[in-house]
Amino acid sequence: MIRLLSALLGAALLAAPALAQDDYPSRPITMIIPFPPGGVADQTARAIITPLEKELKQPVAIRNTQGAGGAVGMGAAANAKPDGYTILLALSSVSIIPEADKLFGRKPAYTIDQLKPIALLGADPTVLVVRAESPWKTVKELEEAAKKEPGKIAYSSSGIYGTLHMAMAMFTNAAGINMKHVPFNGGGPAVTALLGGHVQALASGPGPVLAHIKAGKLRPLANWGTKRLAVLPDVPTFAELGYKNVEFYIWAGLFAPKDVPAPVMEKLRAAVKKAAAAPEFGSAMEKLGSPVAYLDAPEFEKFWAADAARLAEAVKRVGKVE
Amino acid sequence: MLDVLQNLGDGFAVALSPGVLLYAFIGCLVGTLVGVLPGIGPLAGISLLLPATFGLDATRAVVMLAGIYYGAMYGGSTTSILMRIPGEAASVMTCIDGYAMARKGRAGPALTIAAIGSYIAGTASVVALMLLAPPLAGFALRFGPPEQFALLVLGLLVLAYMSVGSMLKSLAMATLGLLLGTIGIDHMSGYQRYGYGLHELGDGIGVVPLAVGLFGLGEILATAGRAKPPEVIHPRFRDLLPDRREMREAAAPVARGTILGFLVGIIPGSAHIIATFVSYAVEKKLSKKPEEFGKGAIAGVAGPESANNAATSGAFVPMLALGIPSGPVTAVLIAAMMVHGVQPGPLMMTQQPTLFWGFIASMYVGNLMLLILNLPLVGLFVQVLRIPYGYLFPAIVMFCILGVYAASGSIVDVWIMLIMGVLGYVLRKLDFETAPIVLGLILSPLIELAMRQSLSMSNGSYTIFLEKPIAATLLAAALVLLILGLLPLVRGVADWRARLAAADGDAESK
Amino acid sequence: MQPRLPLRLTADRVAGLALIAFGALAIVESRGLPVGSLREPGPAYFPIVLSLALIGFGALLLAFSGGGAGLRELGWEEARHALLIVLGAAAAIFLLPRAGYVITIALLLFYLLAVVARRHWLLSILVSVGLAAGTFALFDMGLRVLLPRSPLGFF
Repeated sequence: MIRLLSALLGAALLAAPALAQDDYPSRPITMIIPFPPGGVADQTARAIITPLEKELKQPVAIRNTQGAGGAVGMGAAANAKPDGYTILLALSSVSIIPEADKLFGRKPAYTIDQLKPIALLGADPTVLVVRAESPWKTVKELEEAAKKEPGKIAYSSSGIYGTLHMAMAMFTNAAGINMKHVPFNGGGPAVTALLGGHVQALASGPGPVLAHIKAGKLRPLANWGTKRLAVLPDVPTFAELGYKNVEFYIWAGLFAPKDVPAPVMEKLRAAVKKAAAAPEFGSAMEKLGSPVAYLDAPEFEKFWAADAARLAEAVKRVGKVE
Repeated sequence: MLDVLQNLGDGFAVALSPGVLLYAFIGCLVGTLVGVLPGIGPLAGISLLLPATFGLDATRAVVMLAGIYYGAMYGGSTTSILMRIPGEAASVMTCIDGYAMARKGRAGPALTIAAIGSYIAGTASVVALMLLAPPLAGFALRFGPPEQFALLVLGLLVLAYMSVGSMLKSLAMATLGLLLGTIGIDHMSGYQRYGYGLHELGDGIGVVPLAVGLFGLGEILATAGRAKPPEVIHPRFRDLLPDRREMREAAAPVARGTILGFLVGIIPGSAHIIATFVSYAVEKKLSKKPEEFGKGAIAGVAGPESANNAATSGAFVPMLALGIPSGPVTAVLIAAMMVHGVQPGPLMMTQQPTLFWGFIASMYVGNLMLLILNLPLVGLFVQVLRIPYGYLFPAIVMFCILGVYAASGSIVDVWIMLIMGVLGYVLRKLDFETAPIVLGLILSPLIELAMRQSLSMSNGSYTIFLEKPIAATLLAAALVLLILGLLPLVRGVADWRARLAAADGDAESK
Repeated sequence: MQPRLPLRLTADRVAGLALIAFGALAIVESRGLPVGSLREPGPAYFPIVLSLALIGFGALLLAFSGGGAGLRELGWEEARHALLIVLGAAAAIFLLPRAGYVITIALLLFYLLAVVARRHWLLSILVSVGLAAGTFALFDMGLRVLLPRSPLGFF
């Protein structure tokens, strides 16, 4: 009797994980957003969960775990139980934070190899904008002005070692110029500072500045992508202008902890693929000014590796600010 | 002027159409609920409901989301008055006199005045918004780091006037708050200050855990074990409404709070909570009975609550006129509008007049709706005070934990709340005010960033603060305030020493 | 009438000492951070200035306020209750991510009701379970503000 019971129990224990994988997902899934509600990451997440829930046939709940520029939430996701019930929606900054931690000799909240990509959902190249009243019509003119008076022209950013700072650092490094960095607390205040004339230049995602460009308040000079933007067809890319390795995107991607079993990962990938193609997601992202740029896991992994390498280099070149 | 009225008329036609009216009502209702619940402020409320609006047309969606925004602002005062738990940062000041009024059996008038004050402030601000948005928005844009710094210095000086008891003690508490506010990753250099390996401290100590701990839990610790627990209050029906004297005393503070809140609200990046603090300090300074503040002065509820709501409407100025967010909540609203194909900004008024004027009109309607919705709720909410304290205090402890966790999803924040609760209890025993700590914590990162940004802009030259006209004017005002504040101190030094000695003697001879 | 001692522990003096100690601690903890200069303040600049101000205010309190009640005279009748509440809350916060919201909060409420406030045990159980489950249903299931789950995963 006891033997029978223990055999049954053993079989049940063995079967449990297998069963769990077969009918994954059998309970609600948590999507960690490492930023407060309202930002790009949060909006993307809220737009994708509705079609994603239809695919997975389970609720997907958003948990905004904020703090330390996203490090807290990303760390929580990287160290979560790898069962596929916790996934992460992160932005480009996911590759910057461990580098900045390294720079300051801090214990990192996570390392990037703890995360496994599921899919890329959106990627907007940043755009270099100046005020419409400013004398600079091209990147060349801005570069020459900066060379004439090093450290005079100021640019705003969303925060030190933030995405917008790193984009600008790539440009100033490649051009060999010195511009003054004035960090702000978030992307919104950085745009406001440029509009108010408190700084002279800014690298920004197209969404937040497009309306101001159209209203004639700001002038776009170049974009950080490999091709021109559909919404700004007259604006050249840095690559076109002959700058090497000045490539940067504000992207949003989905990740899972690295040890998620392969079958679960397959299901997640398939579900996200269908959800990303859903018209409701596409139209929401279009209107937010950042059209869907879907990449499946293998391509996303390559894209991410190249991006992370460029960012690590940029962080090292900027170094500590004393 | 005439075409404004014409347009507004068209706007009301939109806002009062049954479909739009219904969504405005849903928004106000959800907003009130979300505002009453601790830990879920307007930001979380709007984000939660954003996906639900994807299927609606733009006007309905925007009207509903805006309803949530100011509904949450109305609702935020409820827990402050009834349980001394600030639902959000903006209702910290309401905790002080609102809760004191509740303990005197005047919870009904406090809640009613908060709702009426919010209504008047909301409606008056919409008028200002409608008539003055474009010029005010241009003015708001001129606030760069030097101007922000000057404004914040002015706000900081107000701290000195906030003292209910000793000014020295208030200054010490404000400094403590400022020092606590330096915890976290330095915005200018990227260094982590006082992190101790806790990544959760990267953004520093949050306002919600600090305020809920100091006010909510601190109060429980100080009262729960008294041999004579706070009495159960049975509010009578006629005690629900403010009496004539209370109405009279609240009128001027509502007016002043409205103007103050609106002006602070339009400046992008400034903390709206400053408006509530400054309003409190102004009312105390102007009051004929300043000694009543902290013990249940109705002006201490009316002023800050009006300022809070006026700031909410003020925040719409840069959003509608320029398309720039003045804070996280307006950022979400802008995103929500963009999802529906509306781009807020200078072109909105001409390109989508129906939506623009419908939105403006729905703000009038929404405010009225909230007043009508909130007044009957007063009668319901005050029933909370009928619960015997032995049952009430465990629930308040639960709401402190739940509210802080719901606000950030971080267990570290809940620990911080507990520590702040103990600190709040000890400070209360030692007769220190805790409100200056909260304001110090909020102002500290703003003031430091603005100052260092300015210095970075000017390559280390302090003349930048004098070259900018707005900054120089604000700093001159601060200087005048400082001198006015110090004069009686200098004059009264002898007299003050004498009083101290007398007080000392009294204390010793007990 | 007590004899007047120069170092009698009044509330203000204790507070002054604590402020001085906290300011000094903050200065010590700022080591390793660059101070910068007046023209270019570094990350340690503001904290050190504020710490010095705090020490100054503490010293002023110590020097000028012989007044204020003695520590003992403050009346600490509620201190035992406060301690019980703090300990209960600390245990609950420790348990919260481990045992989940409903179990933890129900236990905390039962402890506060039955042990601290000495209410009837049956009523305490009913109130604690009801409140814990009710708030969970409202926040987690209704508003989708995720709260910690128990290892079982259901609530």
